[in-house]
Amino acid sequence: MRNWIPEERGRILAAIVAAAGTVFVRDHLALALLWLASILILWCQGELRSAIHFLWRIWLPLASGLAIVWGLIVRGSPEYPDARGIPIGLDYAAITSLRIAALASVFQATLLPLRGFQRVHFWSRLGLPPSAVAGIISIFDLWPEFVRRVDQVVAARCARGLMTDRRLITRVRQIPFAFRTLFLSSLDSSMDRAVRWQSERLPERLVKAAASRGGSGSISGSFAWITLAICWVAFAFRHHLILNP
Amino acid sequence: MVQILTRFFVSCRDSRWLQRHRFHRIICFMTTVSASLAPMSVKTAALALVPLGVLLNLGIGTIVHLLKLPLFVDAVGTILITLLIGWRWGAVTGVLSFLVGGLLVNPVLPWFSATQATIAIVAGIMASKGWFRSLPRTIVVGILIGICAAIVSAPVIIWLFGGITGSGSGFITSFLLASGKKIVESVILTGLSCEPIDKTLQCLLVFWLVKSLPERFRTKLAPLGYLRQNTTANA
Repeated sequence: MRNWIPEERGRILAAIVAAAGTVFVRDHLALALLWLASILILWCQGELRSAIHFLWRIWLPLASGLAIVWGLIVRGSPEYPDARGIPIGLDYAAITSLRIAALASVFQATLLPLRGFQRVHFWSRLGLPPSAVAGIISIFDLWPEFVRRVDQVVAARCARGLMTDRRLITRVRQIPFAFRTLFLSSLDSSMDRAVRWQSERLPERLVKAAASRGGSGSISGSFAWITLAICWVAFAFRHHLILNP
Repeated sequence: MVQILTRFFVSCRDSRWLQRHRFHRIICFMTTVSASLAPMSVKTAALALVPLGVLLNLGIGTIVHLLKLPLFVDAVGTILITLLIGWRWGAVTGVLSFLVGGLLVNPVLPWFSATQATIAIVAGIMASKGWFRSLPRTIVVGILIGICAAIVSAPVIIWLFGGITGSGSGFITSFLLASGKKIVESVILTGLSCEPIDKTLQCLLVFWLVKSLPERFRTKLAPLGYLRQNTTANA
């Protein structure tokens, strides 16, 4: 299994090839294939939950909106301004929705399965300095704490009776106060943390530790992923040319 | 002097002999104290502020989501970091926010990274000329950033999203499309009508935050970014 996991640069290169192809491809089958392949990769690496979350919470409303606007309201496609009709509009909405789904899944399949030291190794192999790598890694660990703090700030304002009703104007007025509390409390702790990290040379030690453990991928895996991405692009353009000679 | 002391304490702390000694804890404490007294380097400030900026960009989105408001408010961290430590770090904050946001919140966000970089550049240029000094000037900066953001994000919205991004502005785009306007016109008009309001609100928020920044942070960060040019009137 380890042989099929690509190295950091192979992972990025394969994702760039696939994403670039996705932007220009206008073929349902090719886009659906890429989407399914990315979902399969996510499933194999135990990240299917994130893909489903995206599909349910973001993609489905977006796809519905596109279908309503282009299929029912405009009844046409910007690619063919002279042609009119519900099927043409729905076709454009379907292509766009598939493209968004494919791009999102490629991004998720590229970066989401990386964990712990793999993440450190990934960013440092891309040429980022140790302090930048430490900064990026800290975001992932601080995010859950930050979300909790956001909830606390909003809940505290409600409990103090500062949000007496749920009117839009009352809710808008909360933003600066909630934001200020959040910012000043986080600034203090993040400054202390940065000074401590720098004095303990934590960024350098972190990158060294990740380098000593080595990356999670192999060259054969990188080669396989890049080849698959190139094959998919070739298939997509060929299939499109067969359908639209 | 403080830097020399810090280096001395760090070398003492790292020595094998002292690590076995009972004074090692005191040496560690002294290292931290001397490091916190030393003038802040851009590297240390970036290490502290870039993750915070990213979290603010993503966190304020969460607040907006919790309060169910029809706004984006996703570049406050970018503008703030630009003002505090310069446009390069602001751009890094913006791009990282959308990359990390792509993993944590919404995987289509990374496609708008160029918009964040543009926001940082425009905010940096304006801040270097002291345009965040007063409220009316800040509003002008907000409008300008909004116009630039609308122009930069339009190709992505048109090419990748077919004009509809799933946000509240999608209703305006669909209305314009239904009225017979072309997709390019509709998206640019929507952007120009929504983005300046959103970005002005964010610039005002940053203006207010910078004003409420404690003096010790202001002194530490003043040599690094554009605080000096923009706080003279408020101080």
